[in-house]
Amino acid sequence: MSGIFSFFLRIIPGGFLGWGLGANDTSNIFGTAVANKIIRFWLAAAITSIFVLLGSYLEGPKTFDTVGKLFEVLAVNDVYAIALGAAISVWFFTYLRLPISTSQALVGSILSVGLLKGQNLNVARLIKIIICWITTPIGGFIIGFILYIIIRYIFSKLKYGLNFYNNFVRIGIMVVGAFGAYSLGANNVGNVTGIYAMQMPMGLSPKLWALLGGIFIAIGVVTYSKRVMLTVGTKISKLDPLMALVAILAESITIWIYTQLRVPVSTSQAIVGAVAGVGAVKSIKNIDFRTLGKIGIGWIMTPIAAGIVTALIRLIIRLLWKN
Amino acid sequence: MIFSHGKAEKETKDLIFQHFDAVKGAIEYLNKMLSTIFDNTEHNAKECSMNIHKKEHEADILRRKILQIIEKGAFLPTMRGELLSFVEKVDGIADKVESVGDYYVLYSPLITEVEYQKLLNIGRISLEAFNKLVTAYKVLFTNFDETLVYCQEIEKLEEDVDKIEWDLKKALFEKKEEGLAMKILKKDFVNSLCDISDRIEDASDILEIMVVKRKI
Repeated sequence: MSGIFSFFLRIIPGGFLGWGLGANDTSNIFGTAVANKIIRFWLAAAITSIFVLLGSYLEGPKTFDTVGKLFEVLAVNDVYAIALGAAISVWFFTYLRLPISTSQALVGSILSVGLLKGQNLNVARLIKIIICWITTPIGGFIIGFILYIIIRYIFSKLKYGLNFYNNFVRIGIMVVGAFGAYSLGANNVGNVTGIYAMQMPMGLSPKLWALLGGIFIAIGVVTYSKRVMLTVGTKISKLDPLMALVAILAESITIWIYTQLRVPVSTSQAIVGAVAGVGAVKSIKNIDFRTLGKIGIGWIMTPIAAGIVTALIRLIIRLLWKN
Repeated sequence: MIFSHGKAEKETKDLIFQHFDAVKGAIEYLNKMLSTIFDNTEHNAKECSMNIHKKEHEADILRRKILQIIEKGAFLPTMRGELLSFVEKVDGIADKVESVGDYYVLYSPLITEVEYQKLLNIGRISLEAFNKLVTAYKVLFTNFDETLVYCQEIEKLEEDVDKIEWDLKKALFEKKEEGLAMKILKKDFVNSLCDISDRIEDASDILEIMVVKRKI
């Protein structure tokens, strides 16, 4: 019994992180559609939960070792401090309405603990992660740009009216949303339970850790994402529905590609890049350079802030348990 | 058809067609009223005016139903506002028809034979333009290109009405034998009658914008 209790106690920070991810990041997929009553919230939540779980279970473990093995060995309390530090940072910055990436917060937390302990950092892996962060919005931009040109070409050859246009957007949102949820689960579940699977597996296989992470994300989707969707769902509504659809598809493809490269990246930054790419097909004026600038600041500030929070938590843990 | 339609969308589309029928009915009664000018029966004009009122009222009820169903979430959000504006514009046509009918019944301007033919022509062209508006709306759901063609034809018909209006007013104020009061009365009547085709064109402009925004 105490074993089960201890297990749940240890995974609470990861669960919190997963819950926050489900509550916040899924708004990038179905936010616009739900906020504008294109589909009902419960349908969106059901599609998201199912496909997040599927993505987590089938491809989630791919990103586990990239972040989870930045340092070869970490103590149990360190893992706890990392997960808790990242979770608190994400929650705190979201509360302050500052853009924060779970992936970047987690890396900041891991670096903070590992470097304070003087452990050997896997520099090559860190460089790979940083390159992927930088290329995420760029990748979103390029894919969004190309996809929209293709869609534009196809539509220019079609004779269509509102029936086709409406149904294409409606069905497209569900299909693309399902793929987006799958990509989110596959890529970001590594942030939620990757460090547990790599550093303190507690008898569970990576697949099971991925499934557990997926469940945490799905709980966030069901319990809290509606509010976030309704609040931030209009973020990309300045695009017409077809452009928004292409932007979400571009974001999902980008995230999926990074899953194959085994690096968890920010879905929010991918969608910003994708929106800019789709908008740039019509005019370069559609690019929001201020938002892109915020992403750049986030690459530096997020890991530093999460690192400081995690260092404080680790200090508290050490003082409490003399570890 | 590759994709199926939503129930709310189908209901809205059907209601809009019913709304069209009501407005068209009002225009037809107005044309009937114009054609009976020389029958010299006040009764005919009043009866037509009452029928126009009924059709306008019918259109109002349908307009409210359409607003309610669209607000509940029929069609994509970006389309809802545009469709609502379109329905409002079409409803405005019925309002105008009603006021033209009322004007004639209340002030009974003395129309000459030449003016009568021109007024009939305006009424006929307005009805033709309205029929094209209905078709433009119908093909909006299946073929954007065709919608644009109908919108251009409506624009041409509206120009034809403008020419007749110009000729009518010019001839009216060149006449020496008619008093100024009657001239102003007739001018206002012609203005009102020609506003109908203006409003039809305004409604077709909304369809045109809807198409242009979605043509990639």
